[in-house]
Amino acid sequence: MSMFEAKSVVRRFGEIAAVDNLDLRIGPGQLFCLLGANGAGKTTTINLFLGFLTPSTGEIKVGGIDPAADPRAARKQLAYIPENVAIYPQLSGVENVDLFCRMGGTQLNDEEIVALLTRAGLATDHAKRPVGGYSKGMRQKVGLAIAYARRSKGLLLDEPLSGLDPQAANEFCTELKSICDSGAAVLMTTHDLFRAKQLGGTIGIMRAGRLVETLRSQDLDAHELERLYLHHMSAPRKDASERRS
Amino acid sequence: MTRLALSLELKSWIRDRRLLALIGALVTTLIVITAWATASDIGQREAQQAAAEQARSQWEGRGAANPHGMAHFGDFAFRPTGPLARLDYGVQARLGKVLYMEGHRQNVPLHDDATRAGPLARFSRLDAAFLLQVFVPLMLVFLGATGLAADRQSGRLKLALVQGISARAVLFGHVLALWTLALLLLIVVIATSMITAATLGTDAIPSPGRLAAFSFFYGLFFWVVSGGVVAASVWLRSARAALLALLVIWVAATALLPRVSSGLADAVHPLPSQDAFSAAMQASRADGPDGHNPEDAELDRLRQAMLDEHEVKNVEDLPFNFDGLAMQVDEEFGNQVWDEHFGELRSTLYSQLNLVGLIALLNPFQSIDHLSMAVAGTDLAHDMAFQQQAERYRRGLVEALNREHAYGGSKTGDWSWEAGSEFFAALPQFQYAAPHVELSFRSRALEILGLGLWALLMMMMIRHGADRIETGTLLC
Repeated sequence: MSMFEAKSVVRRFGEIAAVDNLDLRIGPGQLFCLLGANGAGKTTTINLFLGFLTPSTGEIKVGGIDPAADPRAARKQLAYIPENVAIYPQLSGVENVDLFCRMGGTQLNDEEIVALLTRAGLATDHAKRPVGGYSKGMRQKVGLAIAYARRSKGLLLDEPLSGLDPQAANEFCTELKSICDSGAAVLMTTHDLFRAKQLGGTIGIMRAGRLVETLRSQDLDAHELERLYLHHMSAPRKDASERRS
Repeated sequence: MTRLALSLELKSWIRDRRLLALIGALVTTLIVITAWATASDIGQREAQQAAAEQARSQWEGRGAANPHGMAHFGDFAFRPTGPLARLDYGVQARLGKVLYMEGHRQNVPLHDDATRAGPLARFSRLDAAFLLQVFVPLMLVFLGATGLAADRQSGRLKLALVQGISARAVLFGHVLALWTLALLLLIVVIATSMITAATLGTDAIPSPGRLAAFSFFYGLFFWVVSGGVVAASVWLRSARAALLALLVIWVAATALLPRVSSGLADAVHPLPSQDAFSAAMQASRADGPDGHNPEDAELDRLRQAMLDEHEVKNVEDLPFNFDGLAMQVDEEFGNQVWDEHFGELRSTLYSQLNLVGLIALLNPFQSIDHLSMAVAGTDLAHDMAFQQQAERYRRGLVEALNREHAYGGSKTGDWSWEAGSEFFAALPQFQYAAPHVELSFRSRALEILGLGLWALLMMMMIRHGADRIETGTLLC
């Protein structure tokens, strides 16, 4: 059974189809990188899987559960990292991880939390300082630690590399691969073609709500991926009437 | 999970120094004002007690005197209040504190603060109830309107929901945090008043029933406000829109609506002016017997009936003093007139109160204002009860004096006859018995209903809003 499944999904905002006839299946151990310009429909796709948006038409399943019908059951199977990890600035990194874990019903001790933060790339001496003083990248690492703690069967990552330094981004990609190898399904949106290629899963290119290209990363090198991406981005836009299904 | 959301909110406040400073300033203000109001009220009550003792000693110190002369000498009733009046001064500033009671006439209480304060009467007395009803909600607005909206706008709420916490738990956590803070402030106020009173060596503990009702109604009110703040920040989406809307509601509910409703009540059920009321009373009284007029026709008929009954020709030969009887007849007619006019006045006042109570269904700020005064014993209903008790006492006193005048041993026309000082000393002093707290519930049923309905409405709005957040409708 696929962990993430979208069948002919359309999501409209007024007359605009933010996601247009999306078909997608991501099974256990598979990693799918969704590339696309701003407004291509990547975050809308993530929100559809999270159950924060319902499809106008079509069907969405997360581990066999329709998130629109039972969003909490669907989310129980997921970990999620947004582009900007917003956590509580008055609390330390450790306290934030502890808090978000307890929200999911998981109780960890301080040592386990520090280990998670270290795994996410956050230096131990920062872990107990208030998050209000963290950089965006450091907050992102706390978000990673929260996601790691979930040990979920499915990961939804909305531009998780945003703000990470190259070393942390590289470590994150390595970690993500190992999570994938352990059987988790991953859907990640990114603008970073290099990292998408590096991660080595399936790559999808999205434009104006449509998944216009799906390819395996090993089938082409980084330059070819870039050329293909730019080709799709520079192709003439369909007018609004064409985009309405 | 709600407890987790609650502890998170409280922890966030405690770690925010600016917020902590703001809360500290409010707590200090509450303590200072409550202590000052309590000390001031105790000082006033002590002065009142001293005046009551002096009045009694003057009554008893008159020695032997003519009973009817003593009816004109009169006595005083002082309007006392309970310990909760130190927290809510109510409408006392506009009501007289002392009632002069004498024969032949019913007076109105005198020495109200408003008259003494002159132009300053426009600014009502600062008491803890004012802070609890006006400033604590304002603080809850500033704390609550921005907190949840910031969680939503930053994406924290979304991240939290993905972890598995329910939107209901998050929202009720916010409500509970605001409510807990408000309850702590209420406890600070009540404790400050009790400690101040105990320090000054006076009765510190209100009756358990009144204290429980006072706390319960404020608890309900704070729940409505906390729920309203969170509901607004859920439904209005942005922190700015929620804050603006809540501030507009706060101004309307605390300043505008109470004035509109009292103006409306006065227009629909107008009250006569004090002069018009007195003039109408005098006019009605002029139609009845006058105990001091020897040519009064009605008394003449009574005099003749008494002469016939006792088979004597002169009133001096009657076995009692006819003047005392005449005075009592005069008094009873005056009582009827007062009952009629005061009854109409009271009926109009209750019509006003009912209308204002009906309007208060729309405004929980008015509901708590009315309930707070009612439970503190400082509302109009308690003043009415005081006036009625004082009038009952006056009637009993005057009747006892007239009876002594009539049957104490004097003859008709003998105005120099005097009763012994022990007779006057034996007459009981006026003692005000505060009505049972049940009176407050009965007279303010609409307000209780209103607060209860608002509390339910807030719960429903939050639950419905939480469901919409869960599905993302009110989240993104």
